[in-house]
Amino acid sequence: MNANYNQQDIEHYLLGQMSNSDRSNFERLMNQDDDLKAAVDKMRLITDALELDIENELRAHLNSLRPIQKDQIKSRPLKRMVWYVAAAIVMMLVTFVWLLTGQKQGLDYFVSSHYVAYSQIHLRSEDDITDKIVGSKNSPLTESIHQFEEHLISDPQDYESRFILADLYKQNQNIDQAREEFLNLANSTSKIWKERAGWNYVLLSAQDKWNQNADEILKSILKDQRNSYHELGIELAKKMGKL
Amino acid sequence: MNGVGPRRTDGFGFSNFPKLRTQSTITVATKSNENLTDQQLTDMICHSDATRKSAIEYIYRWDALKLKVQHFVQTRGGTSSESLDIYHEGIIVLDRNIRTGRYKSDGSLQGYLYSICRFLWQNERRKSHRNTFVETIPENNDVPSPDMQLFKEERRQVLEKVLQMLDDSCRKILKLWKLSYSMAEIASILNLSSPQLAKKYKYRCLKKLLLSLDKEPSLLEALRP
Repeated sequence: MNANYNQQDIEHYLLGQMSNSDRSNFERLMNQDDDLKAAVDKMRLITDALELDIENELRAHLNSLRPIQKDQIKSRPLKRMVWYVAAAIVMMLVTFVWLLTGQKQGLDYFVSSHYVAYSQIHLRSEDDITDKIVGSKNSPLTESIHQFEEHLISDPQDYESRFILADLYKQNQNIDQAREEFLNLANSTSKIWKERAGWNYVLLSAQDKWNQNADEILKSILKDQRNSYHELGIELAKKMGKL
Repeated sequence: MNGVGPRRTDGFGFSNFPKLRTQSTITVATKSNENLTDQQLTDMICHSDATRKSAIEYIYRWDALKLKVQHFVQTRGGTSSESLDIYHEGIIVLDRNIRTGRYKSDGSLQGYLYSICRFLWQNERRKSHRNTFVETIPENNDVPSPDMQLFKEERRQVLEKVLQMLDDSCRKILKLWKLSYSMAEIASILNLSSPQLAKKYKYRCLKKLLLSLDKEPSLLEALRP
């Protein structure tokens, strides 16, 4: 090892005990020094093994807390079926009315014109963009989706990735999942992503499956003049006959 | 980027990291055991083995959240038992993220755990081909690569082998060190006479393990992509 680092630095790096700038410097050194990289890899084997041990212990502890009767709350398929049927009838009625009034075509155009795709947004940093674009362009869409889903297990507070994931769901024609992810994001604490996600949720719901959540989000957009989608919200509400 | 790392100090130069609550605050929180705040829970997870377990048990009893996860899993092809498995795995990830400083306290802990569980289930569902919720399933694309599955299993086996190289006392001390406990706490838990002695033991154990790994280069090789 050279004078620029020691064993303690490696430990601090792997235990996440370095500041962001120290971490970047350390990673730069690592890229230039094969010996350091080998030492970090070896040490990582140890910390990963210990983490596995910690997690196994916690898993055993959680299993000891687990109730003996696993299926405490039974599913209620009949009740669910009633809801599905009710939802299907409502959907059919809504679709019928829309088709009848000829609004849908105009609405579709509005939605496709104002939907916020992640590619239209200035993302947070060059490195992150590169990582994500590589994932999105060089591999099939579902592969990118898998990558984001896996990433978000360990970092669900990465709101930007959540937005991209929702958009990827939409690109992949998984509209229900896209709507669900946008709705979750619309309920998050990040103002900027909350607005964008809320708007996309309203748009996708306007196209299909309008519901109470969409109604509430649209109302909040109309009420808040500082909301980035306030003007567009008014336009949408007019198109939908809600104003 | 992530936060600044685990929220603990060990007296060996981590003074720039956020400090923990005092011992007395943590003790009160553990005793009262009701309506703990997110901040108290994250502090407890980082504080000591005992408070960490109390916090985990408290989180485990979030029945409303458990039901929400159950609903999510069951409406997407899972069973009640699987939903509990996902809740367990979610807690494990939550614990890890708090300990390693990845969790940022800008939202509710319950919302955070729920998100983890959702993504875990989506991942799980993909692996087990039970994509019943999504209407359109593109051909061939929803199957995880067998190579990746094999690699994960192989990795787990390698890590188990590394653990087997450790004797019980070393395994205990290194595990506590990995949990970022201070040398004083480790000394106290293991009934050692001083933090210096704990530090010495930890150093010896680590050195011994590194030497053992030198004799088994195949282990490291197995994890190279």
